[in-house]
Amino acid sequence: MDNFYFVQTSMYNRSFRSVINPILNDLTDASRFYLNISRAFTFESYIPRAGEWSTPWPVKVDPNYTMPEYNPNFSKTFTDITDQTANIILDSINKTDKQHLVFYSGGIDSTTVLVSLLKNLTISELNKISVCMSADSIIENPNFYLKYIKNKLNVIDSNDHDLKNHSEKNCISIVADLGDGLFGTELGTRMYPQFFSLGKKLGYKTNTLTDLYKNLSNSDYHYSKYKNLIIEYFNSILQSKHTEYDIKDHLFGELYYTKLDNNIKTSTVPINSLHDFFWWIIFNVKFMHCALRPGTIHSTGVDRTDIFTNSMINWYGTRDYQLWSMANNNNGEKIKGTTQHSYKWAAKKYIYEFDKNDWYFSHKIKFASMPLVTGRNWSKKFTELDSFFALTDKYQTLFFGDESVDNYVREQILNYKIDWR
Amino acid sequence: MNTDFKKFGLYSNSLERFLNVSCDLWITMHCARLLSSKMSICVCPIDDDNINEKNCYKYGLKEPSDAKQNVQMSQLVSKTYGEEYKGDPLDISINTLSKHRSYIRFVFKIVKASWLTDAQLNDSNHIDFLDLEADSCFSLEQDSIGFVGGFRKNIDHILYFSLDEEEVRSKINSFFDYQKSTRPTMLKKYETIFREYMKNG
Repeated sequence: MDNFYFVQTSMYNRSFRSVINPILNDLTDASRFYLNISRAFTFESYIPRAGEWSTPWPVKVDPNYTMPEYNPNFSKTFTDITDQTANIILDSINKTDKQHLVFYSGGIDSTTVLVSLLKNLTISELNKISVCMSADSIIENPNFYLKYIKNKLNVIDSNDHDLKNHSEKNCISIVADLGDGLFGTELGTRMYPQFFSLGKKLGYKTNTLTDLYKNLSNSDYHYSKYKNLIIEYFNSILQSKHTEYDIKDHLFGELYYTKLDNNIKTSTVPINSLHDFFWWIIFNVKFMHCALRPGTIHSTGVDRTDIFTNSMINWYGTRDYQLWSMANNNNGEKIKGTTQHSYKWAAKKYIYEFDKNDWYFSHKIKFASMPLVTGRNWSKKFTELDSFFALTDKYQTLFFGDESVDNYVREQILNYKIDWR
Repeated sequence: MNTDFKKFGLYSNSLERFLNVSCDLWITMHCARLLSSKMSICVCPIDDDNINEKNCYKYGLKEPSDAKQNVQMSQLVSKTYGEEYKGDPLDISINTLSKHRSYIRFVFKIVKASWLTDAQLNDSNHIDFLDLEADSCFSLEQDSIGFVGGFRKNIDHILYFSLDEEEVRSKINSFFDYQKSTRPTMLKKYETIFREYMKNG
């Protein structure tokens, strides 16, 4: 087998389930752990960019998305980089006659992209881009749509969310999927509101919990102080989703925590606070998933070369954004306080300086809005999307349902070993 | 499941506090829907007698994950753990909070006034009735009192897209502009009754 740039296995997908069903009684602790990641977090799709992280597959980082070396003195601000990225898009617009499509969900990341373009491009330059969106995007931020998009920018319905079609139509898609990778993950922001109930289950005193809660983004409060809470949280997620959860599955939280801890200890980027811990998951092992998902699990076709080499720009994938993300932990730029609305603070501030909408600034929280559109697309193209397995380093797609792929997957999962504790 | 709740709270998922309390579930659900253009909210039944309209912003859900939502639309939360006193919300200034709470109360007042006005005056609401006939080949642009889409729909539109009281007031004033109306007498009647309910609401 070639190396893989992208793998997705999900116990919620019919094709993967049918590959795995024959071996469910033969699982080792490691293979059970692997499948439980997909049960708890909907899918398993981890490719390490730094540190030790074993997977059942021969994986490789796409050279376009390698992690730059950590530079604590990196001084460009989020605003500098966001404004500068509009100029990168402008260069691309000027160099080609391809139409540029901005994928807009109404969420914080894609609104930041549109604000940057509205701020930095002239009206005639803006006429060369189109906004690819759905009715869901209006519902997510109605005032922005009414004020800045409706009757002002070209709009394309994103219901046919397939980059293969866009590349065939001579378009370049601008996607904001890596925004989460810069700020952290909702795995963290969903834990924080449950902090006290998790702690009380474990017998923590209220004073201790209050202290830990207030300091979840303080570099002096190392994430290891939160170890028991994190493990309990991971187990509670799995328990809520795994219908046949049994005693053997109870190892999950600890295995996942120690695997992440080992990865952190073997990489060279400083990870201190609880928020850093969650950020690192998406910035490191899940970064490739976010970078490539628009052209992999949300698109169709065998050969994806044109999508990834000519037709897709990841707005937040630049070296500067990544360096900013590594140099701005625990200073209020990623999460200002502890509540959900203070998450992605730098991006929310950037939007507010443009639209002055203090409701959005004070109350907008991160939603997983993508599943709304992709879910509908999924049912339309079920056979091909459900059977997606991997993207090779030659941008070719492998699908479940091919006997050699199915056998290979079963064999690799059964041979997977716990090598991190 | 218990359905006999006396109070309902408008719960902010971002601040993890209640922002308003009302005895009327359907008004609260409707306001939550209109306010969802500006904030992430849901509606929760409230058991605790101590929570009222004045102090609700100091209370939250014991287990906020009950209210976790993945979509923007408001929803009724069936909670397991109840409410608890949490103190002032974090990460928002008191000025912004009181300004936003005042706007929320204003939205409740307008919705209530518009529903009462429409219920009192719209005695031939054919648009709503026509909607019940799914396969109808007939359409009505205006209801019999002369509003395209109906009175309540127009008020809802104003509330959904406005950002503050001043903007709402100015749009409602334009809406009651007799010069543009095909039925000025009926419009005047609507305005009089609506403003009466607003004054007394």
